[in-house]
This record gives sequence, C-alpha cells and structure tokens, in this order.
Amino acid sequence: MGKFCQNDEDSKENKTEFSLVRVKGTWKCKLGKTITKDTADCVSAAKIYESITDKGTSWTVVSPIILTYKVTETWGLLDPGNDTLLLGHITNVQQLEDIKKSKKPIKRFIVVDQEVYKIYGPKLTEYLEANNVLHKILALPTTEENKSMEMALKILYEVNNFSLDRRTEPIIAIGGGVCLDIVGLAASLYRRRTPYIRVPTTLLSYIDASIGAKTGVNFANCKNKLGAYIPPAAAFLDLSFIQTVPRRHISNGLAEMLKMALMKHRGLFELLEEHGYMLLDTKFQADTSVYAHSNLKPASQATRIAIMTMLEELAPNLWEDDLNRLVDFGHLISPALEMQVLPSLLHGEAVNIDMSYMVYVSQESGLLTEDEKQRIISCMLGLELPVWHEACTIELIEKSLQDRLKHSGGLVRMPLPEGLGQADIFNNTSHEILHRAYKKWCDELNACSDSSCSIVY
Amino acid sequence: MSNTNSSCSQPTKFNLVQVKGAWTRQSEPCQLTEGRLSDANIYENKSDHGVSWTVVSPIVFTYRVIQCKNILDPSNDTLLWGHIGDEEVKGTLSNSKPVKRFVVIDETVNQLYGSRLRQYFEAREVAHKILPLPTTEENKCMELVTKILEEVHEFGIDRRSEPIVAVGGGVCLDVVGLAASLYRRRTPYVRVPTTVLAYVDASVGAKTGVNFAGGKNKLGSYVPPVATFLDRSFFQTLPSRQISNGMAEMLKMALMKHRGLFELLEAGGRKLLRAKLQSCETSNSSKQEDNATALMRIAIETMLEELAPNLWEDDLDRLVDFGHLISPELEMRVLPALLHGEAVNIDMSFMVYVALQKGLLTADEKDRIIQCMLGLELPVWHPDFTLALVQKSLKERLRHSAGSLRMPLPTGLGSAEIFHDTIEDNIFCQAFQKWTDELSSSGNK
Repeated sequence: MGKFCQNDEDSKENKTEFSLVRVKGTWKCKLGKTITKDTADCVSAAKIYESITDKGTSWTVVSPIILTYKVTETWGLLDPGNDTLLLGHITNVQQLEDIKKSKKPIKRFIVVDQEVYKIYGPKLTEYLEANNVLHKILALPTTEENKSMEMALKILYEVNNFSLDRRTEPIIAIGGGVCLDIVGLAASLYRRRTPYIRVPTTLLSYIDASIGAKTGVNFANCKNKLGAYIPPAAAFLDLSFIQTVPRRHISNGLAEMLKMALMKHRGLFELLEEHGYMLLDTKFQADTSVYAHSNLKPASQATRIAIMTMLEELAPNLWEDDLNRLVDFGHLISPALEMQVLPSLLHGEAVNIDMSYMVYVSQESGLLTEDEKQRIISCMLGLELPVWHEACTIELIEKSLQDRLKHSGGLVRMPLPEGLGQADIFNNTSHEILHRAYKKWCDELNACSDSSCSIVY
Repeated sequence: MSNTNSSCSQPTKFNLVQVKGAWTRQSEPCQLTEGRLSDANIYENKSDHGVSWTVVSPIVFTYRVIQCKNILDPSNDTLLWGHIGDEEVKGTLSNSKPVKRFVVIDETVNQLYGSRLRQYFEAREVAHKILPLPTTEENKCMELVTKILEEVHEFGIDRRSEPIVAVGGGVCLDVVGLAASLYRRRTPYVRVPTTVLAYVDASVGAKTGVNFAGGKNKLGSYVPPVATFLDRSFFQTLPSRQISNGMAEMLKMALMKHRGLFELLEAGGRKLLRAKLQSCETSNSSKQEDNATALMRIAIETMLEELAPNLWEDDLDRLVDFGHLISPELEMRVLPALLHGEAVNIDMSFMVYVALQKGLLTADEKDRIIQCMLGLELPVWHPDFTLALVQKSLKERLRHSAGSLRMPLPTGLGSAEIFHDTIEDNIFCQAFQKWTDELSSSGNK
C-alpha cells in the first residue's frame, strides 16, 4: 500500500498516464503530463493510469492528500484575553479577519478529562463565557481501562446532538493521552473527518500523544488496536497545566523525553541528566522561577528539543508506511507489560522498564559501554522512574518480540541505543544476548523495582 | 499561532533527511547531506509566546481498479494477487510462506457463491476464514464493524501482506472498509462488488462508513482499498430491481458529464437491463457486447475522474452529489422501502424539473431524461418526497456544506454546473408542482 507500488507497475504493464483537469466544475482526464492552463481552472496532483487487456480495463489511482497541522506553544491558554484556544488553528489570514469581524457566535464542543475538569472546569467555563462561546463541555473519566470504542461512541452521540459545522467548528480535547486519543478517533470518524484540537494537560501528552497523527482505543485487551492516523488541526501546548500534575505523572512524561534523548539527542540526555530532578521538583515551571538562570530556561528547552526530535521522526512517516521507527524504542515490550499489570504501571513507567532492559541488551551487544549504561540507568532513577518489574519476565519479553515479528512484516526492527544520543534499528539480536542481558538486568536492578534505590554495580 | 503576533518573522522551512535511520531537519538554504529526503516539511515560527511548528505531510494513496472475468476460477490470480501488480512480486510472494485470507461476504451472496469461493481457496491452498454477514442497510452500524474486528483479530492477519477481502454490495464494502481502516489504524483491504451499484459507485472511491443515530453514513473514513476487482458475472444472479438500482448511479454520471453514456442508456437501457449487463458471447450480437462493456467502462471512468482529485472531499463542490441532496433523508425515512439508487433517482428526477424551471433544460430534454429513467425501470416519484422533505434536506445541506447550497444541476444532456446561490422558494414550488402533476401517476414505474 502506499508509494511503493507505482514503480513496479510502470515497467511491466502498458500504462497510459492521465492528468486530471477541471474545466468549469467538471473534472476530465487529459492524456499525458503537460497541460495548458488556458481552459483549465485547476490541475490536480492526482493521476490515473490506465491499461487495457483482453480481460478488461485496469485503472490505478494515485492521489496525494496533504495533511497539515500546527503545534503551538502558548502561555495562559485559559486567560480570557488569549484567543489561541478558539482561533489558533486558523492559518488563513483572511479567514481569521472575517471571523473576528463576524457577528456569528463561536460554537465549540469540548471533551475534558474528569479529573482535569475538577481542577480547571471553572476557569474553562469562565473563559468560554467571557468570549461568548456557545459551548457544551463533556467531562469523562478518560482512563486506560475506559479507552474503548464505547467511550468514543458516547462522545459521538453527544457531538451529534450538539450540531457542529462540518469544517469550522473543531472539537476540542483537553486532557492526557487517553483523552486526546479517544477524542481524536471520535473526531476522525464523525462525517468521516471532523477537525479537532488537542490541549495536553500532562507532560506525557505534551511531548508525545499531542504532536503526532495517531488516535486510538484499546480492543480485545490489546493496546490501541483500533484507531486512525488523522492529526488534529492544531495542538496547543501550555506548560502551566503541568503545575497540577502529580509528581509520578511528571516522571511518566520524562520517560518519553528520555526516549527521544537516547535515540537521537545527546544534548537532551545531558539536560535530563543534569536538570531532570529539578524539572521534576519544579513541575516544569522552572523558567519563571528562582531556578531560572539568565538564558537557561531548561523547561522549555527540554520540551522543545523533545518535541522537535519527535516531529522530525513523525512527519516523514505519518502513516507508518515505514515500519522502522526510532520512536518505537521502549514500545516493543511495554504494551504487553502495561496491559498485564493494568493499572499499576503508567504508560511512561512501562516504557522506561522496556528501555531499561533494552539498554542492557545494547550493552551486551557491544553498542553501549558499561559506563554509558550506568549513566543511563542512573538518569532514569534520578527521574524517579522504575527500571525493573517482576512482571517483565523473559517469557513476556519473548512473546512480545514474537508479536513484534508478526506485526512488523516479519522483522523485529528493534531500536537500540548506540552510544549516548544515537541509535539504529536491529533485526538479528541473538537469543543468547537477550537472555544474558535479562539475567544481568535482573541481577543488577531487581532491588530497584520501586525506583527508590541506588544501584551498587 | 497567537494572533496578535501573526505579523512576526517568516517561518523557517525545514526539509527532513534520513541519515542512518534517524530523521534530521535541515533548513532550506543548507546543503543537503547524503540521505533520503522526505516529501514532508516542518515550518518553525518563533514569537513572544513561544515556538509554533507546522507539519506538512503528504500521504499518497494508490489503489487499483481492475476489471476481470471469472474471478472465482481457481486459475485466476486476481483475487489473491491483483492488488500487487508486478508479475515478479506476485511470483515471489506466492512461493514463500503459506497464504492466508480473511473474507467477509454478504449472507445472500454467500448462499450463491460461498461454495465456489471456498473451492477457490482450497484449490489454491490458501488458509482462509469466510465470515458471512447480513449486510443490510438496517444493520449498517458500528456493532457490525466490531463483530468483524473480533473475528479478524482472532484469525490473525499479517499487518501488511494479507488484505481483508470484502465480497458483496455497497453496505458490505462500506462496513468492511471501515473495519479495515480501524484495525491497527490501517489494514489493507480488497473490494469485490457483487451488485451493479457497488460496481460503479461504492467500490471505486475512498469512502467507508456506517450509519449512526439515524443518519446515513455518519461515521466512517476516507481510506481506499488496495484494490477493487470488478467482475460483471456476479450480476447474473441479481434481481432486475437491483440492476436498475445500479443503473441509476450510471445515469447520474451520464447526466452530469457524459452525453454518450446518456445516449447509450437511452437507446439500449432496457435491453441491457434484460441482459443483466452481460456481454453476449455469440458473434453476431457484437453491438450488444460493445454496449455493455462500454457502459461499465465509461461509468467507472467518469466516476474516477471526479473522485481521484477530491478523495477526501476537501472540495465540497462535487458533481457526484447529484441525486444525493434529498435522497438520504428520503431513504432513511422509508427504510427499507427504497433502495439507494431508487431514492437517488427520485431525487434526480425532481432536480431535472428544477433545472427545467430554471431554464437550464428544455422540455424535450426533460422528457428524454424521464423516459430514460422509466426505461431503466426506476421510480421517478414518491409520495414521501414532499416539499417539506425537500426544504428540510436543503437546510441540512446548507449546514453541512459550509454555508452554500452547492447544488449540481444538469445544464443540457451530459453537462452540469454547481449552483452556490440560494434558489428562490417559488422555483422549487413550481418545479415540485409540475413534477407531481406529471409523474405522480407513473409513481413507482
């Protein structure tokens, strides 16, 4: 599926290429590539290739769809004077002006995580009323256990009753990753595509769930088995939400930041190594606090690098045509682990345990020095993340890697760190290495299952 | 973008280059290093409020629409490999590991073709699961999708190389398409339409969907199949009513953009209907063979022309919407009394009178069109198609089409235009009056 087919076909079959031109509202096939623009008001990027055999005619349609979305840092998203939440997704200057001048009231449907609503509900309502927004707020318990199609349908019933314009009234999702994933899926299904906006309120969703295209719900006890690759119109990132996030959940988000650091950014790793604890302590509010040195701004620096490195990896592979993905690091074993011990491990915690084991695999494979391995584990402990778990047995690991083979076109595609801040993808890690690494991992870290120890090597 | 700062610096454009497995951004003026360049770009904009990134990522959808004969003949590769194309690739694949397929088939179609389908897979040693389901309009809902997903999940399919196969009419194809788009966020699927309607319409576009909260196709996706296989021989077991049903959609395309197709339907419609759109095998009726083949080919081409440039309906001006402004309401209201194409035809029939009232069609053209419809044994009027229904539908249309009616109307035989301005009430009233006066007696044929 996707891009690969085209080249194979051209060589063997006799194909005629047609461009598509629109003349007075009607699309027509026109032979060949060169088009005179006199009579046509539009030439499409799509093409149709036709070939005729004795069995009949065959057509191949090649149609590019451009997906565009914004990821915008802002401050004081819920300050009544800040119009980002309502208009920040609009890129067309004329459209923006028209809306501002128009008397037509703004209408929005908003899904908020229940817990987030308890803290920010009043502020949100005040914001909407101050801006004269006709609104419906739906507060839901968006937990991992509820992350199902039933919840998506529940949202859809309410959206359908509220009555939104097809294009200009995006659904807004405010909450953590689960909330954003479910609302994103519901929006993608409604009318086959409804614009939506993400406002992440946890660190994890801030640097991960909110900035990619993936949406989804769990199914048949498997994580994210159903979903879509439809990005939001925009994601609005306001670090101030992190103030009310419990400490454990901040560590949770730090795990995904560490993932990006280990895969591709030494500078981010060193930032987390040096300032991670402080960021945790200050709940990422350090930039405006007494901890901030002249130009340091470690909180936004860290999040910006995390976001940028993630966007670099996602943008060229938005629909995962390429199954080799550095961002899969920490995600080969953690899905099964997470579902197995639900709800005792948060997503990032499971990811970290996976990464921790994989760091041992890396070291056993000669990709990391002993010293680098220790630095990484120490960093993880500094971020108060678990580095081991008794449910992460060798059987779970083996089963996960087998499933990985099944779901990844026959190759395990295992991302492993090579040095600090670099990585590559491996398909041939031996059984022996996996077992040796596991033994060492258990021997050295099993006393650290609650991340509150220091290791003695 | 915080709007008060929208007049700030130009965004920096970054290309994305993959070097040793990792993607890196490179700002435009820089020399490109060795590595794979992506089609995607990231734009970065800095302001007082912070940084804003815009991701622009093109996703290319490629799918094949393949006419074939005897798709269930075990010696025919199409059903298993038609989606791949290249002979070499086919060869490699069919030689390596055991082939597996999950097939969803409409219950009724299963009764007629199920055993031949099973024989096909057995002869070719394909591990398979065939799931027959009652894919009717009333069942076209998320629950049916979930049922399919449970079975697919249990059976186990490879993420990329084992497309789900859908065999049936439009409802079946729509429901399976949606299930496939949701599974693992995207699973390849193949469509085998068994009705005329599905052949010319549902099977060649990207749309999938189910009904929801009383609304037709309220939930769905725009993910096309990897391939659609078109085998006319399925029509032989279709009731005449179903064939007329499909021909309504062909007539739609003819009225919108192909005079030749209209004339074919006008002159040969009845005969083609009798022949169930089969090409005659005998040598002395070459004209009829040409007609059926030409009909199917033109119907597909005209549809593909309109769908390919607008796969995700970014442009709400769509000629293919003709016959679809009022029919959704009508269809849902009298469910299951009218088939989709029948409802569409009633809508078109009324719209032809609107076109006449507006001076876009002559009385003679109007007569020819209605005669053609009757020749295809399609209903041209319905008592539930009231003026109130028309007004309600158009209000809905206005709501869902960004404030403009976007009404396609024929402007001659085989040409059309989309009208954006609101049409005066009295035009509708007069058209409705005339339409009822002239056609209510012919009613449903």
